[in-house]
Amino acid sequence: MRWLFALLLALGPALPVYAGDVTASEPSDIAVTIYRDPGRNGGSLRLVALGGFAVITETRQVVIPAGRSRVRFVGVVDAIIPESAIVSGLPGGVIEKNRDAALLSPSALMRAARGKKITLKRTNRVTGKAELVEGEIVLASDQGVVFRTAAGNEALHCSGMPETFSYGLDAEGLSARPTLSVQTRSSKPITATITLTYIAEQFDWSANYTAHLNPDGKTVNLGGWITLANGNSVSLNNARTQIVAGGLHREYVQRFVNNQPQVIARCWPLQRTSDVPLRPDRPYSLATPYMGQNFESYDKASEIMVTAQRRSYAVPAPSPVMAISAESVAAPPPPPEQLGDLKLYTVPQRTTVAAMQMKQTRLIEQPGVPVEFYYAATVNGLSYRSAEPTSGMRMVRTHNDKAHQLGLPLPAGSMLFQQDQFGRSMLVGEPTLADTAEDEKIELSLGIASDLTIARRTLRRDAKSQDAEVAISNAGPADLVLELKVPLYGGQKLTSADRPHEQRNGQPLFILKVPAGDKVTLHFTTAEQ
Amino acid sequence: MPRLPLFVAASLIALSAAASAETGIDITIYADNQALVQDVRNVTFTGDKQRIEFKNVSAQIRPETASLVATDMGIIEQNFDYDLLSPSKIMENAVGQTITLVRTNPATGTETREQAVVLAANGGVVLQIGNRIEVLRDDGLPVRVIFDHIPPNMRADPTLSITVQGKAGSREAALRYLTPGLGWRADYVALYDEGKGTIDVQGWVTLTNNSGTTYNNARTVLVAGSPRMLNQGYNPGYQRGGYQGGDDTMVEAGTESGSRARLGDYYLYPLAERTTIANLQTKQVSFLDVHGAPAQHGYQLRLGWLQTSETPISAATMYSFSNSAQGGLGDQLPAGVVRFYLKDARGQAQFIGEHAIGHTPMGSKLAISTGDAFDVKVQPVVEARTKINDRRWKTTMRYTVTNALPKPVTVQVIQGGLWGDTKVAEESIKSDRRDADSVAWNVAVPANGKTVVTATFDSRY
Repeated sequence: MRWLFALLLALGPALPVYAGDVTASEPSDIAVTIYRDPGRNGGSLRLVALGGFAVITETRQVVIPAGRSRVRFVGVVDAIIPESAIVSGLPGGVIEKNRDAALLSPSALMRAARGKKITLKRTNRVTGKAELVEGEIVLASDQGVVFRTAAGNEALHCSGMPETFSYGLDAEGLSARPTLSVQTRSSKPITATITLTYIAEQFDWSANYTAHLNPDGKTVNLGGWITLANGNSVSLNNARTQIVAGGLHREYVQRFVNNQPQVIARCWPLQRTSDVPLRPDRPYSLATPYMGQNFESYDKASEIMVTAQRRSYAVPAPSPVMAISAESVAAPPPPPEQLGDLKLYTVPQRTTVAAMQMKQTRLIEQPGVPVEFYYAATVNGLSYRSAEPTSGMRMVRTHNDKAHQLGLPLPAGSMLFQQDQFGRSMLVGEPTLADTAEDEKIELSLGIASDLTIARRTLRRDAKSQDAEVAISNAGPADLVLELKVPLYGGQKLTSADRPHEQRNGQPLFILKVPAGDKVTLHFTTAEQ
Repeated sequence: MPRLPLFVAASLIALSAAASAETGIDITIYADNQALVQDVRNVTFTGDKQRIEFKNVSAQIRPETASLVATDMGIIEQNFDYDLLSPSKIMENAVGQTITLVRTNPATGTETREQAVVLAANGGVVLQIGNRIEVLRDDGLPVRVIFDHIPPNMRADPTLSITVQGKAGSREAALRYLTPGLGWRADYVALYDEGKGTIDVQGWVTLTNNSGTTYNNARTVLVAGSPRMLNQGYNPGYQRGGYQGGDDTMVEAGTESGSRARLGDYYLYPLAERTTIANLQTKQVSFLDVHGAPAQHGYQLRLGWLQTSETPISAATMYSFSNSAQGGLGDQLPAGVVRFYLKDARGQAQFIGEHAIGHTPMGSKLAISTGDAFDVKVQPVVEARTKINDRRWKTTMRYTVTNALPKPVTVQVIQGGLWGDTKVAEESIKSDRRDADSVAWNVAVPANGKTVVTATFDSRY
């Protein structure tokens, strides 16, 4: 199909120009605000399926003639949600806004030329002589291309000679790049500065924290990065970049994609053993609506998941481990601005958010954050069976306040927890952090501690109550604190225990010190009401 | 601009009529991706039987709904042909006929022409050339096949044809049909002013054309409402706005009548000017522009029965306003999506969330949730469950409402799931029993502070 692309290039600059059409300048200023995938509160973004979005504000100049005219904004971001567009700065107001999804392509051009005069150029391979024949396209579909000349009707690409069409210059309604247009009216010719604001999908961002444990074992240096990504094919150059933290409500809206089959110029029959289709390959409706949001990217993502599942999961967004070792290059941005009930961060300097790019910028830098390590486990309060021994979970806890060197909003993301050993930084765990407001507690699980074993046995039971024993053994080299939850449901009650407990979140919690290389036993009795 | 020509075929019934000029398209678009198209064209009737082919109708036309209306004319039959043209179909139809083969010698480039009769086109083409029989391109060399004509009953597009008989003369005929692929909904841009407690709302109708056809210069009317169509289940909740869950935004239904034109129970939104609705186009036209309507910003969280959470849950950010003529937007709101914006410190409007609404009568009160509040959270905890006797239980709940904002807020905490004869036995602040199923507390929380609400429920389970 190279011939068609060559033709396209030749046509390019001359494309749809009709009376009353004015094209706005390329953006002179761009501001982009990136929002997180609304369904994700924590974790990391996935480059293969960016579920967030961005609000893009472009400033463009346009010269508007007197009377009614159509202002075209060429080169908007491809995943634009057209109904979200806000156009301001037009003195005559907006009569209507249009987004044409019919993009210029070889297929679209051939379909548009159906029934119109075209010229067929056929080159003789031996003599090099080109023959030009006037004709008309009868059919252009995925089944083939048929054209009519004075000699009769024939299919394209059956002669064995290079054949191509050339078209007249009226590819009306087809645009080379994603385009938004508005109809406006003006009493006199003017030059206007227009602000175009719209929502575009296939963006996402996440916070990525690194917590590096200091040698004292009691404080961490907490660094945070903003990781943002643009999955569109349009770059936002030198843009004022902002980020919104918090969970927004988004609405599911049915979207249609252009799924007209591609025109394929094929000769039938070409093979020696061809099959004659008994009925048309496709039903009569040429354009079928697809009910779904962004079918194409969804399909791509699921395709990758099937064929290369490991890759799509094993390559999350690269972690900022490398970046942090180069001790704080850029200063963190100023604290966020309150935007309603959300947090608005501004990247201090303008930046280019390029197409298909992931970018990281500093979010916070908080050294010396006191942390407390502890272990957590859960055993059933009332169970008619003894349980298999289980391991405890290593946890870390801090509080988001000034006393803990924090006290600032922490947007959701992941946290790489590291510790030095053998003269290098080693990963201890990568917990996920939900949106955390000031003065909230932070409790994160680091991983399973296999040296800590919890075994629960039911010692005695009758119809209404039972005695249980929990044996906790610590094979590790250090004393530890275990917070053992004993959840009770319905009318169950803890009637006695040989160690003290407190109520937390409505459930009994035993805080037990387990010395290194030792065993601790807990007995308790529970009863049904 | 391309015309919408009416191709009147010199067809099988072989009575030709003169081609005609369009006189206009009227499109009525319903919210559920359905449209009624009325296409008025000038037709020259011959006074005898004639077949009229309609091209440039919707590619998704429901042909069974098509009807042609003209004076002094009777319809004999209507056909919808969907046997589509393709190179193989042309070959199959050429069986028994004479075609022209053009061969180009790959070495010399010279062209030779031969006449051939197509004997068969079953899994390959068998040809008779003079008194020998050959299989087309069995030697792998390219051969051009030229057909004298295209089979008359095959078309590049599905085609509607109507056979009529009418009094001779040229006059207008209206073709009406239903088609999916054209739909609309409303989109609202709401700019909230935190300082003044007001809202500016712009309403746009968003019209999408996925029908495969462009409608030039059409008079367009949009109908807010969803007529019951064939093959649709009865689900009024869904049909209200075409959105599920759109209705939870309406706090109180309105009772005011607007000045908009109506069709039965549906409101009509005619577009002011003729417009071209191109294929694969999204088109927006303004229908509402209100400045400075009063609005409130609040918080709400709805909890289920016996809901305990180890971590605080963000309250929903709520914006409430009315569409009443007094102190509101003053118009009924067709179903669609409301997008909220706030101005940041630089004065740039920033998006803060969106929510769908159903068809909302004028005078209604709306409360729209835009998302989760970062700084305002509620942690519900079941503190105790006690069995009083065989039939009654006592449940003590604690709700810790926290506010990390530097200003006081009020959060509406709704405890749902109060089925049976559940009663509130004790509570630390006065509740409002909204209905049998739920109670609500309006909890005032100081700046950077927290408020704990406790309540004891007396329930059957």
